[in-house]
Amino acid sequence: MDTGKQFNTDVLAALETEHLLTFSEVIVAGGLARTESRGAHYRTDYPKRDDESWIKHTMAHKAEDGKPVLSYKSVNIDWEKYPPQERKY
Amino acid sequence: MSDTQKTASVRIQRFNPEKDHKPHFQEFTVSYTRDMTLLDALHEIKSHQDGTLTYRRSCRHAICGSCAMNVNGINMLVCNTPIKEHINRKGMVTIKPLPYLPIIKDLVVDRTKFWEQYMRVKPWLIPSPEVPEKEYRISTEEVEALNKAETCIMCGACYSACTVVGTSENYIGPHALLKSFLRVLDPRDAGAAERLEEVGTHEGAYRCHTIFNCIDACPKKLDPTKAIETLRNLAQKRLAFEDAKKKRLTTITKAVE
Repeated sequence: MDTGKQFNTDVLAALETEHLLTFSEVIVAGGLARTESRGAHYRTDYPKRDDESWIKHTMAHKAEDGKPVLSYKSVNIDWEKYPPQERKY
Repeated sequence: MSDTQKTASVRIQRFNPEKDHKPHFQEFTVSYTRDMTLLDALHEIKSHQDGTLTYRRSCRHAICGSCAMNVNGINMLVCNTPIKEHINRKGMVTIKPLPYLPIIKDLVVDRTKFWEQYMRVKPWLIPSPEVPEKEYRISTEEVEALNKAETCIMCGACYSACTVVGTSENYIGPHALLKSFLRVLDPRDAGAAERLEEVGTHEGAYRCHTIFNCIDACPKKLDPTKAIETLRNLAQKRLAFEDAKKKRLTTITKAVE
């Protein structure tokens, strides 16, 4: 293991792994909460896209116990010019 | 097709800035199969033998340009080079950092100068104030010539193979001159004369001694020497060339002479 202070790629790898783990938790929590299918997010229990309840960004922050806490933010959409529609192909 | 394991000794130039005064070599024994790359060997050493071994790498398929190193005296990307191709008769392969560049640690070099020279040629597009009514036209030959510059991944193999870079500090270098060539010939770019003035100096195209090391070193099989030659020719007539390009925007039927 590299314990040096200069160009320590071991530290870099450790930090990256920590981030990967943190964000996997966020992705899983966000995915479980999102009870629909949209693009690459596909659920067999909710195979349909649900624009009524799910046109929103998932936000997440870390609670004191380290678990991700979810909140939502509205999406900027030009409803006149580009109304959202389901992709079919 | 045999996939038997053999062993190679990988001789790596080490330098720890916190302890060493100068670089030294260290040998590692690695068992390899026919599809193992040099980068795999480095990974193998870092993961299982010595975690302090330091090198840059990222994409592992020759597109990020991080892992250019000097293997048995030749600059190459270690990620797309099978180790078996470079093991000598004694079963050894030598890996060193890119020559001529200051070493930061082990196989990592300081690329500050490389990027400074790159920025010097204004690698971005200088758009023309007049835009053609439809699309910018370009000939097939031009596309081919430009393609040969556009696929550059900025790995630094050519830069560090160039003896002129090694001896004259302010030489712009093959990587940046190739980029300049790309912009000069780009039909959308309006800064040809300005660019040619910057590269048509004793620190630019005229400093090149046509040693062709850059061509040999390039992992993407590009031709910086030819690009530099073109820049040299165009630098002589940079204003006329820019005019010709401008004219061409409105009346394109033929390629720029």
